[in-house]
Amino acid sequence: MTKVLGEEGTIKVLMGNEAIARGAIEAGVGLVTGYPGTPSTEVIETLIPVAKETGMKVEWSVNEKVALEIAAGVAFAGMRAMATMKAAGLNVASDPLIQIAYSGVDGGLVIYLADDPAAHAGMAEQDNRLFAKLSSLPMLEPTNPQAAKEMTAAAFDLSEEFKVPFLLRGTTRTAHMFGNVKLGPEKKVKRNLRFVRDIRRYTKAGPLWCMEQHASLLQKVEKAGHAAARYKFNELRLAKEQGEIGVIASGAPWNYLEEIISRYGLEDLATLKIGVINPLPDDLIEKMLSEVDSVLILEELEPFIEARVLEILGKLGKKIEVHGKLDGIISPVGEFDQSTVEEAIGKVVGRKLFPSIPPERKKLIERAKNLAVRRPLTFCPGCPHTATYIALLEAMKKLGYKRDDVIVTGDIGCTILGMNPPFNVCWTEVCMGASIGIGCGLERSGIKKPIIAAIGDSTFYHAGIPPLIDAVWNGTNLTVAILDNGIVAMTGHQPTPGSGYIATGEEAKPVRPEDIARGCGVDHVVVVDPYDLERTTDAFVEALKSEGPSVIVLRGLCAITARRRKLIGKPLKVNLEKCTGCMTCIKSTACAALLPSEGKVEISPEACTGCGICEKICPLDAIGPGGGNSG
Amino acid sequence: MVREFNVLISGVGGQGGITLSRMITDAAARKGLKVVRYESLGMAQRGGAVQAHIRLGEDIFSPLIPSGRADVVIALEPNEALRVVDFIGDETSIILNTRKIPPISVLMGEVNYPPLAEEISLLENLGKAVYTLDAYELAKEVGTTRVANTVILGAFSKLNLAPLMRDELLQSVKSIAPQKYLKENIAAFEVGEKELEKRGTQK
Repeated sequence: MTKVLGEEGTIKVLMGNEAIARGAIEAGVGLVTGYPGTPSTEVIETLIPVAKETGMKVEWSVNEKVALEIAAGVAFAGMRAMATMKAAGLNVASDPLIQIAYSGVDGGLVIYLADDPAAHAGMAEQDNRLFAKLSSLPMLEPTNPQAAKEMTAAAFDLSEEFKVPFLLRGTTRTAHMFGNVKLGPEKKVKRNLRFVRDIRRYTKAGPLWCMEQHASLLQKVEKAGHAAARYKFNELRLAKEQGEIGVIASGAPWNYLEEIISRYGLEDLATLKIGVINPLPDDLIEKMLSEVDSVLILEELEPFIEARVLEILGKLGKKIEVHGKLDGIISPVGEFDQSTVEEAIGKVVGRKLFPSIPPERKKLIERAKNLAVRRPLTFCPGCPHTATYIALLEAMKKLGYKRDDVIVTGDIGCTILGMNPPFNVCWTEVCMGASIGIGCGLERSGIKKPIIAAIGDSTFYHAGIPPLIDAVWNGTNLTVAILDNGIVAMTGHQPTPGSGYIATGEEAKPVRPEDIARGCGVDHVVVVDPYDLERTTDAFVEALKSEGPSVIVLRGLCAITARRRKLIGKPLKVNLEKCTGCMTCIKSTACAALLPSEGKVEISPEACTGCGICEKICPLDAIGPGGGNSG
Repeated sequence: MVREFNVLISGVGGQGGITLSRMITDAAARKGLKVVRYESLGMAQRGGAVQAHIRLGEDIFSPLIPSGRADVVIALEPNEALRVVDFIGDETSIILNTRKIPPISVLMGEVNYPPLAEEISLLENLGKAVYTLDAYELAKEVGTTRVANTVILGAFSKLNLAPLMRDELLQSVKSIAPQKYLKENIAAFEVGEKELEKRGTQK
């Protein structure tokens, strides 16, 4: 996939994240690293196949904190670097972020943060613009792929010019939006590697130096903010005649606004597009506020710009109507679409912009929607996690536990789908690695129930190791089930430290979770193949009976990866003479390869991987390679 | 000049909805049209719902089709058509693949799959026209169910609703379909066209 390479001036259709990748190429970046997370993943995925050709190092890191530290180290040495992450990733990377801001960088450093209003990928609707405030770092936010590419390239130039890291913020809608992008020239950046010992800049064990660094950061950001203005990322359009109403928007909401203005001919609105989120363009905001009687702020999640508007009005001693989140016109929950913007503008201009849907039609729409059934997520056919959770339930039964007698703390990634039917196993999902920490806490609370932490391999490497050390150190009776499918599956099959290769495909020494567990001091460590249901069940039984922390590594390659590597088995068949249609197979596995057909079960030959779980579960021996035992 | 043309594709992960959306966009881009596309990939790999918004024309800035403004809705799966009724307006043509992919809740007997006849009558009332076909069965005719999405593209082309010519769409099939299944894809496109031709002007 070399779609981001091409002659200057070529127009391509690129996704926002692909455009950011292209921006990094045009800016002559030396290294890009990150941790996979929706909706940020495609930046690195796009760069991996062109890494060699562009001379760029492209890596997946063990977590976002490490990624940012590596990118910063590269930038300390004078080379341009980028770190990418999802919204929650910055929580993990926030510690280095805030400290690196103080020291600044010599090579341009850009940190791409992909927020997720409406939580399409799960997790909190965290507004990372607030991290721009917290870290005092400059932040840019594009509205479309073309802007995303230009801002990325500009962010590197500005970062290098002012020696301060730049934040680039996307949201799901701008990150995953495709649009026309005109390719620019690829910059040949000189890479004079140079890192000079300067402890006054790079160390912090002294209040005087820290405050010096802080003061220098604030100066740099102000200058960088002024300089960003020359790129026209902010755009004030005053109405021809003095308008009464002004609208301020940034990011995805700007697109909705622009389309609505063109559709309804609302040229009498004054508008301000904001691309520089930190520092906000106070001068342009002031100019608009001096022209209008009321202002509407269109921004998803927190009232970030709105709060600044109120501060500026306070400073000016001017009173005008301010609409947005704080007066309740728009909810701080969820994302926008065109109707959000149409309704908000309608309220402010005092008339309905769009014809309302007739009640008859509304009824039909409701009826249609009510007819639709939900499509809950399940494990893919052949997924090793299906086997793991079936074995776990079986072990609980063997020990005489009911489903609610054992607490299973869940974690981030595919493994959490064990919360859904038919397993209904996982109880909690907090953040990367927390299944173990929360499990330790529950155990120490004195609750008299066995506790199992279910965590994926990548999640374990990412943040599961410190709580496991704590479990050993503070003596916790807890079983950690590491569901090791060898890949970061949920985000699209990126390698983990255990995969045996790196992002660009070269071989690497695999780091094994069982070695880590033993190294952390866990005595009871076993590795099992989850498809061996009997042994896996026994492993859970033994672990639940053992005292102190225990670790079970359930090693089975992700079924999608296995399919791609042609490592799957032959599809199984149902012996229709034996099958009574009891549906035990479907009800225990929820496997999408099992389909009810005329009162019995049929196996889809395209979907089945031959994993054999249904074969073992079928009480009538009606499933097998040839269609059951007698088949 | 094309001002605004919207196609919404709704289906289930693995049905080729994203490829279909890329084929339509590719044809438009090659023609020099302004293109905006959005794919909600979410949890597609886990058998979840997938939607793609394709928008062509000079008046388009937003990645999402506004309510009621889809010119064409392509539903690759009946239940998934019901999920996107907000985008259907009086002028919307609906292409419906009748092949069902029952969600696990249906397989486990917890809920019933929506009855097709009731659904089609609702869609007919909401939109301008509903064109139904079993793309899965039609794809079998050319040898592989993998090309069911291209059958739909053929039908889409035959309806002549988009500002895109047959040859332009077929060119996209040639440049985007995997080379291994190129012959089947072209055959599938033609099967889709023929299926619609058979209907004449009938809904």
